[in-house]
Amino acid sequence: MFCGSSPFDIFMRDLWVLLPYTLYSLLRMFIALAISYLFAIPYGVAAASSRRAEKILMPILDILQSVPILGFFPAAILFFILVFQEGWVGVELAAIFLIFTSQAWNLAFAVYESASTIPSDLDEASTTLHLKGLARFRNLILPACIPKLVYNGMMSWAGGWYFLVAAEMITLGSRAYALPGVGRYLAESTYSGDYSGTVLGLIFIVLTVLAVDRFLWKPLRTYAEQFRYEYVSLGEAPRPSHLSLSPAMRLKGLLKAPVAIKDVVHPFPVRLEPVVDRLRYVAVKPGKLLGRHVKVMICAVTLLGCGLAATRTSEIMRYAYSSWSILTEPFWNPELKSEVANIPVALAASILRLFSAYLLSLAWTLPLAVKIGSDRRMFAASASLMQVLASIPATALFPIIILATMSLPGGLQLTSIILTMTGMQWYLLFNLIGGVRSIPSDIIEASEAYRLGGFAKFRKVIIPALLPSLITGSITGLGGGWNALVVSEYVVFGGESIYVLGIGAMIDKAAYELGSFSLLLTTIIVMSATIILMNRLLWRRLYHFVFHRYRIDY
Amino acid sequence: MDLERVRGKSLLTLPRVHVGQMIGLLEVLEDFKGRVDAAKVADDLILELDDLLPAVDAAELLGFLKVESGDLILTEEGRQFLAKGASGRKKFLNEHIMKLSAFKAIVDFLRSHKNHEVTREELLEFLRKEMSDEDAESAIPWIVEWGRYSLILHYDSNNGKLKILRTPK
Amino acid sequence: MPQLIELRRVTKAFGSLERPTVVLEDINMSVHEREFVSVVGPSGCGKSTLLRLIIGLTEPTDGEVYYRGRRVQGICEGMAMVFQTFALFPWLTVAENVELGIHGKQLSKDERRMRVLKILELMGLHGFEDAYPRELSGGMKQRVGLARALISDPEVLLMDEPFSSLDPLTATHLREEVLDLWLDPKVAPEAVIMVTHNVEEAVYMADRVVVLTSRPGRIARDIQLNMPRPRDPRSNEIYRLVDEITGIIA
Repeated sequence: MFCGSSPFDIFMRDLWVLLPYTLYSLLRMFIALAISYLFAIPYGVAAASSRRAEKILMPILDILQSVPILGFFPAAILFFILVFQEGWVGVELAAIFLIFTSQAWNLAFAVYESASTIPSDLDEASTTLHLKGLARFRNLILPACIPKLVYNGMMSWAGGWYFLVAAEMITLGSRAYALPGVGRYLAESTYSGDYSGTVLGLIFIVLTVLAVDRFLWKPLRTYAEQFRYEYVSLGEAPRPSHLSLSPAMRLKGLLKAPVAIKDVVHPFPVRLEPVVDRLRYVAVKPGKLLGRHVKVMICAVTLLGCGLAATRTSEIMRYAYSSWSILTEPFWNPELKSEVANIPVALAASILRLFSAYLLSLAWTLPLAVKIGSDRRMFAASASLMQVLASIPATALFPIIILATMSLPGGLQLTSIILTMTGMQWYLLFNLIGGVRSIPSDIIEASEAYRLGGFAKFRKVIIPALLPSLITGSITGLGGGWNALVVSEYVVFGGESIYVLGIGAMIDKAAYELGSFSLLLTTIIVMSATIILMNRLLWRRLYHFVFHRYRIDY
Repeated sequence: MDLERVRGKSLLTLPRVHVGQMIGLLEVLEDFKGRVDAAKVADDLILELDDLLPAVDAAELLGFLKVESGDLILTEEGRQFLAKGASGRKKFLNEHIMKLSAFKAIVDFLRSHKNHEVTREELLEFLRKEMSDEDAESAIPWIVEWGRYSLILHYDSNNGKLKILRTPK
Repeated sequence: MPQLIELRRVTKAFGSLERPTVVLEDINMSVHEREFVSVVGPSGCGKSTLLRLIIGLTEPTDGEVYYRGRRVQGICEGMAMVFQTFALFPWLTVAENVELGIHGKQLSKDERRMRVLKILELMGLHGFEDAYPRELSGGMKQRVGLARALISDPEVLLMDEPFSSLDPLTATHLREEVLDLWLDPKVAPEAVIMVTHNVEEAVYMADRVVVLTSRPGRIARDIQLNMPRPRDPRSNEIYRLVDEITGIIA
């Protein structure tokens, strides 16, 4: 390709491009994270402040969390370009918005959880100390949120990379503007045959992720530790063994008291009800968090808004009418109508694809998880490797996978399934490993005592014990899978856009080929509605069923 | 008596009980007019005799009580100690806790360092020379608590540094 | 002695309108200056709720609570509370926790610091100013709770099972400390109301014992103890009273 250039020249040229690109990517990530925090904190605190606020704000968050983020992206690009006219501003903002949506809801939820599980004694004490409004926020609520803000921030950060890289790859083919960043670099290197560049790019990503973890998250984790609560157990005066603190006496005390298995083992993932049980506290009483003056302010602003709206009713009506006709365009515009007609089939195809990817992922993650989880040494040995591998955002590997598998029989059908798998498997693997590790050893021993060999042991003992983590891993994995669909069903390869029949492809097509905002909106709504329905009808039920039947609880 | 002197020499002899617990025990003794069977105290407080021992040991170490044929006896020093108020007791301990060789050794160790200050790890290393790893690890919270209470030591948990606060002349 | 607190026909119910759980019913009582009142009763009898009604953390479903003649609405200035589980802020040092007791007051930085150090010294916490709650024993944590409550010079000190999370020896010691504070005219609040399930403790410490029955919580007896201090916790008189009260509760 670059005739006459030595490998060293290529390397230097790559480096020269890669360094600033990495910095751009990082910059986008940081800006998005900052905005996410700025959104999440007020939102979460508001939702935790009263029953009424909770009833409105939390379902909204629930829905937002279920919308496939990458489905947003084409819409966001169109929207921002429309608003800002300038190509590059629009796309950059869209990318930041994309990362923001992958982080903000999760963080808002974390804030809500923290703010509403403040131990009631601390809450009451704050009230008796006359801590109100800003003082209360600063002294009680914000500190209470810090641990979750840091830990969820870390997770969101990792997730953000996935979407950033995806965004950068998507805009590569955009007529408006191609985002300079690691994603673009990886795509360009891979498709132009500069495989050393691809490797270099991947190394850069891993190094960046590890560096940020070491210099940002690690200090933050240490800082966050001091904000954790120590829960004092209520009830009768502590038994005498509390007095004696020498190790020998402590052991004696432990041997004397009956130990509840459920206090010792916490089946992964964390279940909310037992945690609340353990705390044995009542959640913060409503109405106390937001000071009265803030409530008055909110009322005043709402009234003002209504007042303003009332003075311009005719304009609003006209605007509403035109918006309505734009939005319903797919249903009356003949061009778009044929697209709309395809939606049900496309949706079905996508669901099939998703579940194939799911089953394939399960096929390799389950045995591996059992292997790694049950062998202590193997776990220790592979832990760091897995951490490094997982820190590579799956989307960074897309160009390689596409290149490798497109030419195989099955073409994009196969490729899209594999790409979708990459968005699911880590969730599955880690949850399953956690699940295996927390199966109490006495259950394993019991199964050995009853001579349950190989497959029977697997089926009767391990699988039921793993069900909670399997469900959690599946729910999060499938969430990742839906997102992956949007980038895997429509691919720009060899200069042309190829797509399979699927709802993800329809979204991309509506955005990039047809440029129809209304069609885009329609397809996104269909996809989101499907996800929400599946969550509620299928997964929630399974979750509750599994948790009530298969919990390891005595 | 010999036993006491010998015990006092080893670094192993630290109070391993909360200050408040030891004072509580002395107050109970005072309620019983200064002499009572140890088992009766345990019974009265609804404790196991074993659980009373750390407090008894600490009080004995400091000379506040004596053990004689299963009875706990409040000494004159113990009485005087109780009669003082909160700050009086701290002052008293500030003056007398160095009689425990453990604290003397630790203060000497601190004095040999710059600013009379060491890190938690350095203290741990020092202690490991005299006792097992676990005992050394578990000794530190007691040293910090009694050191702080008697105003001998200052501990900054943010950076893990222990230093001398105020020693008697 | 002048009346500080009065409860008139106070009733508190939780739950829905159709099926309410009545925790306290028709409570009529008053607390005067220089009274140390213990409230005892079986668990679930609403004694903790009573305390929260008095300080204003919650409102009665029926009836009124008065403080110095005025209806209690919101947290009373001049009242402070100590909690069974200490309720200390884990991310603040001892000094910072205690300072929260006067956070609202207009004081210069020096004055603030002075007051914090003074109360810490009084509570035997000198030397622990920079310690964090996790480094403290239960007894010390409760001292911090007491310091935080007393630094604002409250007229009424409310204590919700203050010694119940402590081991017997520490509890014994801390009880003595609280009694010492009560008997020190320079520091003592005008009145103390202590809720406990430990009848011995109630009788040993208080001037007056209010006995509640449960479901719904009503005042069964209001006993004036005419016992001078210092008291012998193992005296026959105390044992007799404990028996009597335990009989009422059971």
